[in-house]
Order: sequence, then structure tokens, then C-alpha cells
Amino acid sequence: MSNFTGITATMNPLAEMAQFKQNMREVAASPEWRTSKLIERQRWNPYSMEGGSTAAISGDNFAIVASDTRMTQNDINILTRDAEKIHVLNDSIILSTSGFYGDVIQLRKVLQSRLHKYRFDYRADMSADLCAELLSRNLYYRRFFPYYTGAMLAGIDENGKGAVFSYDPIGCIERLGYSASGAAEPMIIPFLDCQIGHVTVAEDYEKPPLTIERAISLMKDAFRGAAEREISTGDKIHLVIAEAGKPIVQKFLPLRED
Amino acid sequence: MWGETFDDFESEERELAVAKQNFMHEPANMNFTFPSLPLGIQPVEFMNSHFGATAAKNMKFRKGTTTLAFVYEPATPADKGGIIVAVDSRASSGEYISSKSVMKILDIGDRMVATMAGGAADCQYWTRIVAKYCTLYELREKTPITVSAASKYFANALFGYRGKGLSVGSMVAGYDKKGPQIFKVDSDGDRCSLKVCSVGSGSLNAYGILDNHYKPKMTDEEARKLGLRAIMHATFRDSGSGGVCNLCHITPTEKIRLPPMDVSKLWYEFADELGRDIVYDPRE
Amino acid sequence: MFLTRSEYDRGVNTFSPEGRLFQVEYAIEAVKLGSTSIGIRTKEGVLLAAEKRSTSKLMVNDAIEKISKVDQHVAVTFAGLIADSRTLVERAQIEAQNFWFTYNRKIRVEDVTQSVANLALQFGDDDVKASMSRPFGVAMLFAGVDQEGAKLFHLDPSGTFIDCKAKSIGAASDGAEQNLKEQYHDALTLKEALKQVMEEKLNAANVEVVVIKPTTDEKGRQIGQFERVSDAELDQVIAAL
Repeated sequence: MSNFTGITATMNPLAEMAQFKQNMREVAASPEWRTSKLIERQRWNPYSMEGGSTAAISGDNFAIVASDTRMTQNDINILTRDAEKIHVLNDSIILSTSGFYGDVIQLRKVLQSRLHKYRFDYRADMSADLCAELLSRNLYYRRFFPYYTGAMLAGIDENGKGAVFSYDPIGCIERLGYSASGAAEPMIIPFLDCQIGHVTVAEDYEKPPLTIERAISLMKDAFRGAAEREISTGDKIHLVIAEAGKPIVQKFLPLRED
Repeated sequence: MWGETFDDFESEERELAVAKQNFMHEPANMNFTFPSLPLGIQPVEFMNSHFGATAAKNMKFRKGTTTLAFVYEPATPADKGGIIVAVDSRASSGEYISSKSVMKILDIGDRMVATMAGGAADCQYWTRIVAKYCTLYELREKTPITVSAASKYFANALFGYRGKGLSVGSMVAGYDKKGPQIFKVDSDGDRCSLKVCSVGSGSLNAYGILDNHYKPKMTDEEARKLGLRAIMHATFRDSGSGGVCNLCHITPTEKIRLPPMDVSKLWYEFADELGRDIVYDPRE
Repeated sequence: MFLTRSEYDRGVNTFSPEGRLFQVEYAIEAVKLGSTSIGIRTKEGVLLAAEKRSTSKLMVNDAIEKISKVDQHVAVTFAGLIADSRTLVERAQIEAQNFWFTYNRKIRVEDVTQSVANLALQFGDDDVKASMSRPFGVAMLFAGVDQEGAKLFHLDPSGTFIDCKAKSIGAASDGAEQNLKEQYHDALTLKEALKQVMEEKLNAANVEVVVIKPTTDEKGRQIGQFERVSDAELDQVIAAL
């Protein structure tokens, strides 16, 4: 309240009032008696970043999702080496997540309940594209207290095609051919851009078709590469493969454990 | 104090009911309120500290960038005239380009579009809210909604969340009984009718081109090219814009979406047209 | 008909000893006082026709709307207490839009019917939760085209809804239904259906016709398109009879 000069006859009363109100606002927002240490201590942090990376690739009749299984605290302290970050919601929908595991569990619970209710209300299983929109809305409902998650949804859509949907923490939705989320996203995406998007090769260069075998081996490469250079990625690859008309297959493959 | 009392039991029941309400059902729109932070936590400060500049890379919200729209009249009888809406397709989370293929022209009904600048999720969600309102309005009133009314609803909805940190800069464009209309709406509650308009970090560059080349009467070809040109120059000078240029032409009778054009290819096209590099090289 | 009428018809929540809910049955009777509506499902789409009964020549006939649009691909017509139908139609519209909002997909005709049926059942004489103290006095025909094809549903005041090929409700429903039974075949075209509807000595001024034709949306999914048949087209059909 350094600007407060007391009542003087010379000052414009309106300006004085505005100044007073301004000072009151400032002092209410950060009282002078709060030291920087106190401010830091009082900053409310309900989240914790538990690391890990996930990626998904979709093809003509398949979608594969992979994640590592390491869960870390503050990127340093490894909490567990077999965390499940990929959640199979039904026969055609796979949710994969990175970020705060508490919010992940909550989000999964919301989606599972909604899927369950949908089955009752509409007498059919939800398809991946419906669930993708639903997830977007539900992420946005927490606009002012977001889920601390980088979510991705993959699966087989109603036409039997593979689908990958990517989101930001508050539900900006986009359907893509491939996507990644989490700590190693900036490492995996350029690799997939190069191998699947073919953005770095000339137009007349022969581009190999994206078969399920190629997608799986690319995915393994992506994660092995990321585990070499990213501290919170490692331990195991959790690979989930959805192919149109076939049951979902889950695999675990070893990764670097350091 | 020791063990369960009836009060505890009741509050548990209540919690269960709340959980069911939140998880099992789509929230009822009439009385839906966004879950908010506990009392005393400043929303904007909280968002900045967890999802702002200091946040982890993939936790930042996606932001959109250059969008433009303008109204023109047909120069010859063979042209249709109407509105050109052109946008880039980059979504960035901080410095990271989280997507290079975002569709920033969103539909509101079959005659209107809204563009997306600012928070991508905010735009997507609120445009949907507006689209739903417009459909219900048309069913109840049995008459097409005007662009003015739709944009006012949009602005009012955003104004209700003023100061909570929403970030929307949208142009609602379309044809109605009053003719072609563009309304710029933003999250501060601003709403104004414009003939030539651009929003986003690359808007200054786009305005430069638009102000230079815009004529009230143009052929369709000229108008579409002007849209492409303005977006191309904006993506050239603004690092926050890029990807492809999506263009939508709203004529009095229809809404034509043109195929996306890669801006780096457009650059060469326009350079060829000029006969030299687009940037002046002082050594020559 | 109601020989057993007794004190059991006083409340909506009291069954008679024979197991009947009289108030609901009376509501079904109320439907038969309304003007007639017909729905016919064909391979080319669904047709709804409603008779507009004008009780006085001082009444503006155009002002009555007997077929409402629920969404781009669903229409509904009703017979009985028209005022009651407003609530139900509005519920259908909101339900259709909410589904679209959440899932980015047009709701199925069956699901929109189901949601209205749920509302139709929410009556009772406790004033806490119930929205109506009596059953709605309208029957409705929901017509539309969704990804499963052309659909026609009949909903009555008891909240029962049935998938139909062709159906008639309202005052002349018995006669019209008899006609439909004789004339209906699976290869019926929309034009034939329209002709059949118009045979009932109608003219453009006292009938309202809507057809829902199948189209595809931008994602290539099958969906319907709501179209009102204009007076000129109706006159043409009548002239051709």
C-alpha cells in the first residue's frame, strides 16, 4: 500500500477511490506479509507428473497402441516398473494415457461407466469414434480443473478402419494416422513422421505400405530409441494390437531398465 | 467420533449419488456447471503454473493461430461472391508443434462456420455449444438463425466465463437474410461486425496482404487466391502459423470447402508469379 | 367398453382388480378424438401425412402444424391433445441435439423414441419428481432414416413404442389401418405411398405431408433428409388420381 497517501484535498476523489480499490485488490491477491518461501509453500499442487510415453499407429484395418511401463515421480524416482498405462475399454476401444496416474484412474472410471450406461441405453457397444467424442467432452468438462493427462484413444471405428485420436489435457480432439503422448513425444513423433508420414523424403521416392507387421516393428524401434535417450521411459513395452474382426492382443516386450 | 454414525452414512450416500451423477450420466445442460478449483485458488494463476509456460511439454494446451475472413461482391456475373474464410493448420503447445493438420474451420449448421484461434479445445467446445443452440433455435422458431444472433449467443456464452482464462478468438461467418456477415467474437466478450477480418498471432501479416490487395468486387478466383496469399505470408513471417491452408467459400447458396494447400508449396507458386524470391535480397 | 368403470379410475397409480390402469386407457381413448395421421415406411424413405381438421372456416389452416421436425433426419406427427405433444416434441428435439453434442452423431430414430417414451411414463400424483400429474393424451409416429435404414415408430400414451411398417393414429385410424393392411407391400415406392394417403378424399389445404429420404452425410454414413411436400406437389398427386 505504498501509494496510499491519506486524505488530501488536492486529489481527485474518483481517482483516489480507484487507486484505493486497486491497492486493496493487490493486497488481497498477495498480502505483503507473505514471504516468497511462504508463497511457494502455499501454492497448491494437486498433480504429480508420473512420466512415461505412449504412442499409437492406425492402419487400414488395425490400430496398435504401445506404452512403456515405468512410473516415475518427478522424472527421477522410479515408483514401479510395471504400471499399466494402456486401458482396454471394450472390444474395439483402447485408451492410452500419460501424466498424473490419479487422474488417469478417474478418467478411466468415467469412461467405463459411460460405456456401461451406453450399452444399457442403446443396446449396442460404443464404437471408437463415438467414444473419442465422448472423451473430448469429458476432458473439457474439467476445463477449470483439468485432468493432468495426455490421453489418446485408438481402436477400430464403425467402418472397420483403424483410428487414432489425440487430445490435449482439456479435450482438443483430432483424428490422426499416428500420434504419441508423454515425455518422449518429441522423440517418437519425428521418427513416425519420417517412417509413416514420409515428410522427409522426396515425392517420387518409393514408400513402403503400412502393414501391421511394419507398424509393430516401427513401434518397437520408436520405444527402444526413446528408452535410450529419455529418463522416464523404459522397463517394458506394453503393446496392444487391435485388428478388425479379431480379439485384442496384448504383449509385453523388454526394454532398457536403466 | 468413534466409528460410524448415521451422519457419516448419509454423507457417504450423498457422495455416491454425486459420483453417479458425474460418471454415469451426461451432465444435464440446464444446470451444468464446470467443476472448479477449491475456494481460494486463483484459476488463472493455477492454470498458468500447471499448464502454462513452465508446464511439461505435452501438458500445455494447444493454441491456434492465423485465421482470416472477408466479404466480397462478384466482379462479373459468372462469379458467385460471398465470403472467403481461410486458415492455417498449426496447433502448437509452447514451442512444440503438436499438430500440423488441425481443421480450424468448424461448422455451425450447414450455412455458417466459425474459425478457431486461441485455445483449440475452447473453440471446439464452444462452437459445438453454439451449433446445438442454433439447431434448436431453428426447430423452435422455424426460421434460419442469423449470423448476428448466433454470434451474440456465442459472445454471451463466453462472457459468462470472463476472467476464468478462456482463450477464444473466433469469426462467425455465414449467409443469412441480411446477406453475407462476419462477426468477430472473443473471450473477453467482444463482438463486432466486420467486412475484412483476421485473428491470431499471424493476423498482422495477414492484414498487411488483405489491406493491400482487397477490393470490394473480385472474381471468385481472385478472392480465393487472396485468401491463400494472406495465409501464406502469415505463415512465412509468423512462427506460430504453418502447415496447410484450409479454405472455405460461402456463397449465397452453398458452402464450398476447398482441398487443403501446403503453404510451403504456395510459397514457390507465389514466388514464381513474382519472378523472384518473395523476400527482397539486398545483395542484388 | 369400460363396463368395469369404478372408483379405480380416480388415480393414475391405482390398478383395478382386473389389472388395468384406467387413466392410461382413457388417455389412449383421447388419441382417438384427434385428427388422423398416417406413417408409411418404404424402401425410398418414410412418409408422414396428417389431416388438418379445421373446425371453423374462420380458422387459418396454415397456422396448424401437425408434423414437427425433430432433427434433420427425424419427423414426428401426433394425434390427441396437441398441447401435450409440444412438451414431448421439445424433449425429442433436445434429446436429439444432446446426443449429437456428446457423440457427434445423429441419434437413431429408435433412441429418440425411447427417450420420449421415458418422459411419457413419468407421470404420477406425487408432485416431487413427476413432470405431469396425468398421462400424456397423445400418440405419436416417429419417422426417420438413420444408419440402419428407414424407420417408423408408434408411441402411445402408455409409453409403449412399436416398430411399424405402416401405421395410422387418430379418429379415422381404424379405417385407414384396414386400408394400409390391404395395400401395403414391401416394394412400395414413396409416390405410391403418397397416392394411397391422398385417396382419403383430401386436398392440399387439409393435409400436411412430410417425407424423409435417405441421403449420406459428409462421412458417407446413411442419414435422412426432412422435406415438406409442397401444396403444388400435393395438387399434382390429387390431379393424377
